[in-house]
Amino acid sequence: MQLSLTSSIRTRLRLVPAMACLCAVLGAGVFLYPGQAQASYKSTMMAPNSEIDPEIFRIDEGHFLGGKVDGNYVLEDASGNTFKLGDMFGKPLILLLSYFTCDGACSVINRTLANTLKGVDRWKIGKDYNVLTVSFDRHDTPATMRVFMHKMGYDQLPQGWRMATMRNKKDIDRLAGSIGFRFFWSPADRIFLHPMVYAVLSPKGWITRYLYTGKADTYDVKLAITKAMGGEISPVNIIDYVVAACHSYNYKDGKYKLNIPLFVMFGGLVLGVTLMVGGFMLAKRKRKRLDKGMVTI
Amino acid sequence: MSGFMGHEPNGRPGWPKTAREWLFTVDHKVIGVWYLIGSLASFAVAGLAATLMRIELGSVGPDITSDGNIYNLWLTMHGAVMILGFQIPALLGFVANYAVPIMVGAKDMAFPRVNAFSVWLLWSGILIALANLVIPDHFNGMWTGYPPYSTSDAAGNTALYTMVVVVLGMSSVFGAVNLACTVAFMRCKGMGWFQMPLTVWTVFTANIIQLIFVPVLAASVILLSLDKYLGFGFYNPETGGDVLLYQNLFWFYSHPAVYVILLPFMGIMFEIFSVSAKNMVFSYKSAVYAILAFIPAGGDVWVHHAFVAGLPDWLRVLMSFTTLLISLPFGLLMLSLVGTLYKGAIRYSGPMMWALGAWMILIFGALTGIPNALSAIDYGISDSYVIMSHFHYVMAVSGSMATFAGIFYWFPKLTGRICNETMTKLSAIGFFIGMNTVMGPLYFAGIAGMPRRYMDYQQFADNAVIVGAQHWSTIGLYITFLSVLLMVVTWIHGMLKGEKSSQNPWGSQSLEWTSTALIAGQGNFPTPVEVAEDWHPYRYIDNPKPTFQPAPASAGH
Amino acid sequence: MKIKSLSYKVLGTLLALPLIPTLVYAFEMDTAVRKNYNGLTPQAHWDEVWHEVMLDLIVIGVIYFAVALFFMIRYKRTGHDQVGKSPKLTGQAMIGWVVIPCMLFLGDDLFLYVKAFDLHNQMRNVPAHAQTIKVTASMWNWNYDYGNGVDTDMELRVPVGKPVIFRMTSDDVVHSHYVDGYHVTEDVMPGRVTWEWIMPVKLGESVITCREYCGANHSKMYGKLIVMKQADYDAWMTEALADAKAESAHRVASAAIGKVTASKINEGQEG
Repeated sequence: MQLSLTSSIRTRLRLVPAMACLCAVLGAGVFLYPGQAQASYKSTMMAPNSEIDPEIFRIDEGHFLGGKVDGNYVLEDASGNTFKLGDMFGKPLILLLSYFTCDGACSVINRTLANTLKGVDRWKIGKDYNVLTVSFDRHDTPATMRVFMHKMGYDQLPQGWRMATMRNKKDIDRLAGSIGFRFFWSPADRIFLHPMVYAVLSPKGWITRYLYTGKADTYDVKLAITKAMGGEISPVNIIDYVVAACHSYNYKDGKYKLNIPLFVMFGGLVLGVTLMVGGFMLAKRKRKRLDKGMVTI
Repeated sequence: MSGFMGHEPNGRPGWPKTAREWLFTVDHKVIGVWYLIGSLASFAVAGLAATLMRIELGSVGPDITSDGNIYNLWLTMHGAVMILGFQIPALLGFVANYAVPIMVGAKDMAFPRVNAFSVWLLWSGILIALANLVIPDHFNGMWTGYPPYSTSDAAGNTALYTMVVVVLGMSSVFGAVNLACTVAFMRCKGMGWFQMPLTVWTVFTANIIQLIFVPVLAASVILLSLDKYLGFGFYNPETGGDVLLYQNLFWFYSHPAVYVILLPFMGIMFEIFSVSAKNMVFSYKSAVYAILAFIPAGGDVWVHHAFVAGLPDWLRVLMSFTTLLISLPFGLLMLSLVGTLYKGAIRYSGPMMWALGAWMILIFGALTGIPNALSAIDYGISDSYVIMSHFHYVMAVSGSMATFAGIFYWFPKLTGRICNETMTKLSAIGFFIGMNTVMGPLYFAGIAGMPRRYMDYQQFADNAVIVGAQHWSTIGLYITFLSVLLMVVTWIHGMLKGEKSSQNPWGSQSLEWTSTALIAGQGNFPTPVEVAEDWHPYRYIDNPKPTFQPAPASAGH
Repeated sequence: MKIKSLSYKVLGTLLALPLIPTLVYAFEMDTAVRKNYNGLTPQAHWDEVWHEVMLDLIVIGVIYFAVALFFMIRYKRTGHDQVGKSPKLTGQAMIGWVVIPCMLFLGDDLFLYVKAFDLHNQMRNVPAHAQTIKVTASMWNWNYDYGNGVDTDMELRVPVGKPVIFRMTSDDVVHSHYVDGYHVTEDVMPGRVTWEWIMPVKLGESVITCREYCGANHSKMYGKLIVMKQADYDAWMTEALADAKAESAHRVASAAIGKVTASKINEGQEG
């Protein structure tokens, strides 16, 4: 058995794997130097724009997410009819708390949301999800509501969007409390101070996401609705589910972002398959050359 | 067929003569031995860790340690080193490198230098893993390394974990490319796909699974360290990461990894069953297709590890069904195994005793797997001793018994000597009884509610089932420990003083036993070996003998 | 020729085998019965399915093992040169030996699956009147928030006969909330809310413990569930509410004192 390579070259080539491993171990040594871990799970929410301590309005999302909103609150709509909050369930529900004599923030929140929702093509308001604006000011009446709607630019709300008042102070506090929404009457400015946030509820009334006006765009709202459908998503919407699964919510920015590890994983799969195909091609060539006697092992 | 240069009369390939040759070898047989040494060393370390844990769990309250971090270090080392250091290297390293190339009549692996690189990586990985025992901030986040725990300071040195997984993963991937190429392109003349021994088929399939899934694991584990040390936040919910995603990525590899271990050890069982019964493997072709079916069927079962991890309900129900489907190919393999005994002529040799033990334990392990696939049942037993007992039966006990059966089976090839049969059988029986006493009672402790990965069980102190099971389990460990010692003594005795083996002690038809003209160093066969069209590794009646091609005229240069 | 085509028909019919248990089950359980699950609690239903699965496994295991044991004894090698004489399978026999076992396995899988599916539906559908308990896990504590200002650590009290749903999240790492005797486990993780529900029907205590590895004191992260009579529960809750009110009043008071102190300091600085 003669070998085509001279023994000295062979020996040197044999050292290659050993050297490579030495480098790997040295590399490991450098890498193993203990570093500072970064792991903090307390979400630090940005505040709504107001001058007082924004911490007061911070919704402790960790505490309130996943809570259930009671469906038994009695609400009154623009024409004075009463209905229950639970009547809006059965589809994802976007729940806004506003007050109708508000000059600034409230109509901004509602108008921005209306504009955002116009951009959501995939889900149709009224068909796939509902929106509900509830006043947290017990002095609001159907009359102030109509004025507010007008200010918002609506004479008639779109199908699936309802506005309502609540007259019972206790109920208002309980509803706001159950979603962690805090508001204060500022006697100096004669306005309510409140955060610019709305909640997305699941078809069963569980809080699945908080979104912030000014941060959430069309895409975020669409994903939030898709995720709120959760387990009740139907098989025809499987693509939407997959798209939603590729995104996760960033508490810091208040937006959804791509789930990078998922794509890294696909990269890993591609790498594995490429290695396999590449290895096969090389081995096939080598076998041919071996059979022809052009090389030895 | 004797008289060729360099081969020993007993069919044992010659070993390198100098330390330098041992170290820098590119010969697959020597590399196979390196894999074997590495995996047995890992088995010793991980086994000692298991022993310590078992003693600690023998009774309620601290027995030998009261420090959770120390206990969790043992637990982490036991899991990681057993799987990554012992089982995968023993099966995909030793069996794949030592036996498979000769079984297919190849001169060597397709890429011998890549092969050397793999074994060097393996040893580097094992050494880095062992470093975990001595560094002050040892990693204790389990072999699964779930974030956010593993990205917190409490978990210790996550970089070490990442490094071990990546280095051993690279070793596996290079080894897998090499072996798959060897099987696909280096088979001897005349050997068709359906004339390969099932050990070759199982190792080949396992390596394909490795190739597809290991990069996924490596990538997801690298992201862990990026998260922890550079603050990327891939798995940090605060910055848009998803905690659950890691579990999915991890099990996307690690459940198929179970089949990476299961398939080769079933291959060894096929080999030994067939040789011992001198019988054709029952329904050989369906067994081959069943083995291949593990690639797609193994790829869609990982979600059963996350039935209780907050996934949508429809996904749980769907994946519960896909998980159950794995019973089809597995059932066919078990059918072929028992069918091989039908009308056979069974000789209960030493390796056969180990293989029989492995197979009996596999029945129990496989059956206890069915409830785990049902999502609703899993709500009651998830992360309990039921799961722990199940996978120890399948992977650990059955897997190691089959691996040891393989070592006893190829022992004459490795050393030219044969182990004492009585001692082999005694150690097999001891191991079988010992491990059943360890894992059997724990299944019932699991039903009674005992969770996994506990260093103590004060809350269940008045639960007689759990306390009793833990007690008996520890007693079982002592039996196992003694039988493992006996096994090692048997090996050493066999190596030094064992009876000289004949060329083909078990009467196999496979090439590694019949083509005994193995030469020292690379090349295996003096001239290429060739098999006839109707040759079959499991045919014991009128099987045409493999032949050697005449030496080419140019062989003198 | 005729025999061959007949055997193909037999093989084809066997493809329907797996459907049989499913259909039997579907007929046996009409929707009205399924709606209240024969009046079973989830834990009793779980026990029932578990025993059925175990029985199923034991039957398969015993049959398989008995056949194997028979082979092992019957076909022991007697002569030195004896070899096995297994019959060579024809193509059709080979297909039969794949199809029939596969259909049997599939049939059994489906049989178990429909039972477990039914159980799954019960365990994942919460009765509408369930009481919500907010669970927050941390290293190494279970915090139970009753939603009315009362919260307890490591101890949960519930009235008997009323379903309880846990809405769970974690402050730090992944934990898993397991209530012994109710066969429910669900992981608890940061950034997500998971849930499980139980139906306490028996007075007494049971262990609540963590089932996902969470660090050094993982095994010490246990508390207890106390199921009480409604009257006892109400009495306890009234007391707990009073305590909670007193505590929050105290907190407000100390916050007010803090404010006064702070403003004094500010004044001091201005002065």
